[in-house]
Amino acid sequence: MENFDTYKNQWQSGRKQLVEKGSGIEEIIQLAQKKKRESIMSHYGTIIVLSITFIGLVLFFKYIAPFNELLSHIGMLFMLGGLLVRILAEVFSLMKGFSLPPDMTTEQHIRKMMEFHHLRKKIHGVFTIIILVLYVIGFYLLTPEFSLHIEQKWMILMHISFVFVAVGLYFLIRKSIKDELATLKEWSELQTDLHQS
Amino acid sequence: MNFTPQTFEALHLQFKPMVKQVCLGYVKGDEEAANDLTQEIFMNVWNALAGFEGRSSYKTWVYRITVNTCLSYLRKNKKLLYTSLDTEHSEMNADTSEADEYDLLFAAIGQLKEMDRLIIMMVLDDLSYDEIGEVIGINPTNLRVRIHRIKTRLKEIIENGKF
Repeated sequence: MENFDTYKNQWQSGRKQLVEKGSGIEEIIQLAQKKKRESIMSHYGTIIVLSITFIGLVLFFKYIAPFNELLSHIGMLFMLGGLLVRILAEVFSLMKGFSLPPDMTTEQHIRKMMEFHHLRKKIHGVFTIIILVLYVIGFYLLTPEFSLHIEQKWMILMHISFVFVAVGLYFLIRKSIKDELATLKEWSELQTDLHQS
Repeated sequence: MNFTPQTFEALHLQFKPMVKQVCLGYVKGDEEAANDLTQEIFMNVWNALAGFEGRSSYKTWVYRITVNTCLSYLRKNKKLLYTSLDTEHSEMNADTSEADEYDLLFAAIGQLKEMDRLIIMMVLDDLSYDEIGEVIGINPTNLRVRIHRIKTRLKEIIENGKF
């Protein structure tokens, strides 16, 4: 390939045009530290929101609406248990995500990214659906005792609003799964391409 | 391994043109995206520097971060992955008659597949098969066949003016 040395020379001379004065490394270091902080916060964000919801529910059941019947207690367990499993899944995902150092080989990087998005797909898909089902069953197990304490019109309103929440959640989960699947497909195509010689 | 901001400054000074050139080739000459990507790569270099164990040269290490960041960057910025590539393609098409040889080479690299683009830029930078294998993580023997195919394809694009 005799022309190839010419290309190499062109490439290496072209690089000289890219040498710039001034490094601006202080800005890069600051941005890198900010990026690290933001990345940690965005990952912890979901866990924090879910944990607050969990604590809120516990406090609600303990101080505002202390249910007495067995059916209601099972309902509470379903709701809190589902939420706790979701929090644990997020913690697991966080640990997986953080074990992605940027200096792996490309092959390892692609493999790890695929594993990570597989996990995200599961969390956004099967996991979320199971947890939501548990949550809904739990909620409806509470309603017999709950209805003894509030007026019927509020119960009807609650059931109607639940339909809207369910529709919203359906689209949200569908979008999350579709996004994860699209990303997974892109990484998978890269992996196939990488192993073709 | 201990590192200081001076180590990072030295790496930045030495490898920024190399990284910027790879970024430009990868995003098909989109200057804004290349600058953004270069900055992101050096942010990753800074964040990973404490974990550098010296098992490879700084050059191959920086290349690993460059390649991985490039691949992830395009997947985070899906617009670049799907739309701007075609736009860049037509822009290059219009400029070809006035472009110098370097620009032609650049435009030709832009016509290659994503992984091939990254690999050929390492070849143009004179990295050995072993070093490229160290960056990519595939057997240098397999790499040899692939590189030969990419070189042939690149030559074909340049000679036939397929921009």
